[in-house]
Amino acid sequence: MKIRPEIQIFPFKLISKETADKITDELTRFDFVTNVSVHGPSIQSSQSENYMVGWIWIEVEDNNENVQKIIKDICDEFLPFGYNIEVGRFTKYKKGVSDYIKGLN
Amino acid sequence: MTYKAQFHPGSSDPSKNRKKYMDPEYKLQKIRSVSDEDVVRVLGHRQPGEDYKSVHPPLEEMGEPECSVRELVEPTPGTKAGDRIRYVQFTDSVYFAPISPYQRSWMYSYRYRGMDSGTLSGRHVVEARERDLEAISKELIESETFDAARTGIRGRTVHGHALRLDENGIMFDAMQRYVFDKSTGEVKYVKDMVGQEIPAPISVGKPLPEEELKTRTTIYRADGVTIKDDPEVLEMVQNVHWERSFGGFEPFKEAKFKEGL
Repeated sequence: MKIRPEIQIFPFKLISKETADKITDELTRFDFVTNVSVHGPSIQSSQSENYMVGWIWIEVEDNNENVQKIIKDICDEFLPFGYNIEVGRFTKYKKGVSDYIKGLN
Repeated sequence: MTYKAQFHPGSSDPSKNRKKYMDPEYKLQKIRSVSDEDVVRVLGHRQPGEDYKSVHPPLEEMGEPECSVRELVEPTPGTKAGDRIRYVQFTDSVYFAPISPYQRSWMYSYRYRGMDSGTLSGRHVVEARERDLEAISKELIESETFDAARTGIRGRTVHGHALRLDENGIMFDAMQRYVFDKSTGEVKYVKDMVGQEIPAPISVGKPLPEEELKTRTTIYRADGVTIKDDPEVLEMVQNVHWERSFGGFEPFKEAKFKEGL
């Protein structure tokens, strides 16, 4: 199994769901992006899914300078207050023991 | 020569602000005005206009025993009337909030009577008789120690003081008690302290700009004024640490501090 690298965007401010949606929409247009996940503190509200976004994880086919440049350009557009970019693996990519016990695939 | 309390060492901005807030003779600057009714609504302990509930008859009717301490200490208005004990809790962001929980405790102790305060890492709770508490809350909300964006009135679900601010510079609140009105630039409370809806939004004004907050804060921060910028404060902190570490173990040992820390 090929383990694809992930690129983490860490904005210096918690961004709203709307801004995060704009970023993910931009990112998913590219073929090299295989998955985008977002994470952040949840909000207790009447709307069932409401949250702020503090981390964006972009799974890419291959991490190279061109990919980094495209992601940086998108970040510069939507995150004027600054951000950090890190490369690594931040989300689960294979079944763990507890998943096996639960019968998850 | 009469002794004049210094309250806090140092001459940097945070030190000056700490001194100011702790000095009971300094009158807190009023930067906004919130009506009594709105304060009652935000606290949510009673409906505006409703009578205060009591836990005992007024002191005058109770016939207190003869006691020199009771004669010496004048009861607060809430105690005289026999009000319930209620609370108010403030959360202060780590991002240059005008005051932080520990200083709140110091400040309240110098300024208010008949209250019990509790300090936690990001929030500060104060308990007092209901009408005293309302007076304290009103003064605090209207004063310079409260910023619309970096201070929150939160009875529960206080999480958020150390989280990143949102895009508008507002401290995170999981219960969304306050909202930022983009058209006016003001912060409005739409829920009371514990998250119950209130009939009309209560405006607490515009958040202060970052530069202004940096001069008003009592927080030493690496990206603002640090403790190391203020030799007198550094000396005090090092002394406290020395006494804590060696005071009980080797009290005869002479304190040694690393130069240029």
